[in-house]
Amino acid sequence: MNNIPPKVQNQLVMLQQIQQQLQTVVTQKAQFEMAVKEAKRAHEELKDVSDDSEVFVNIGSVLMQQDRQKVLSSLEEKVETLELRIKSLEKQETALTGKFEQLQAQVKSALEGGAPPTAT
Amino acid sequence: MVNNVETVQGREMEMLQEYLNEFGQQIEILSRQMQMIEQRRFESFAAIDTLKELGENGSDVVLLQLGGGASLRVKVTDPDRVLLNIGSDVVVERSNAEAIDFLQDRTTEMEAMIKKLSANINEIRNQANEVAQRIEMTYRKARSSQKGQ
Repeated sequence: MNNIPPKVQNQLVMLQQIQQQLQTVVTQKAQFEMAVKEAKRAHEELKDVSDDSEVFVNIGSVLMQQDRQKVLSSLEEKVETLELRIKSLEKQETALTGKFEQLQAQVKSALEGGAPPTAT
Repeated sequence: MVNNVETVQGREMEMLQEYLNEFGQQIEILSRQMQMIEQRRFESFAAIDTLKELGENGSDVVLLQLGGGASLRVKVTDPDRVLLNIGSDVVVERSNAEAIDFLQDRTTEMEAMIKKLSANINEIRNQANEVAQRIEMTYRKARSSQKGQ
């Protein structure tokens, strides 16, 4: 590691940071995707239930009875919000992946060919 | 030039070791997920058995476990009205048969998830083995080049 030029060492540190950021974004995206899937399923399930069935929503540590239609709307809203967040995370993921690949190529060429690194 | 080769080999070893550690972490996370799903699957089976039993025997007195080994005698007033958590913090009332159907569907899905996770774990294990072999090879190469000098 001591023989690696300081500039490349910096790039390697940056590479690791981007990788960590990417991992956080991917994990968050996966969590939101799961939540969307769950909300959609709950919505489907609730649609099949008769109007007179009792519906409860978990609020903190209590279950509160709520109107079926209201719960259906709030689930739709939840799906919309989560899908927006997923889109934003996808954009972040694409940007970080691009940055990662660019930096990786620079580090690789600097280590293999001994060429001077172009970016910091 | 020799220094450059040594540096590249050293860096390669470091990177391979990092990959290996990452694979290990991934395997651990996936194994934990699999255990959680397995546990939920068993819970669903237990709930199905209980619902079937209560549905057949009608209103019964059961023991409600409060934790710490303490229980209360509780009379099940209406075993055909089941409150079921359908996800996203929503609980809905379903008939006994509907609740059983729902839980059975869920257990089937969970089985599929467990199979998928197990396949993923095996795939990562294979990749980790490949990386471990590569580390071994790089190490041997480095040692033989040291001896040659």
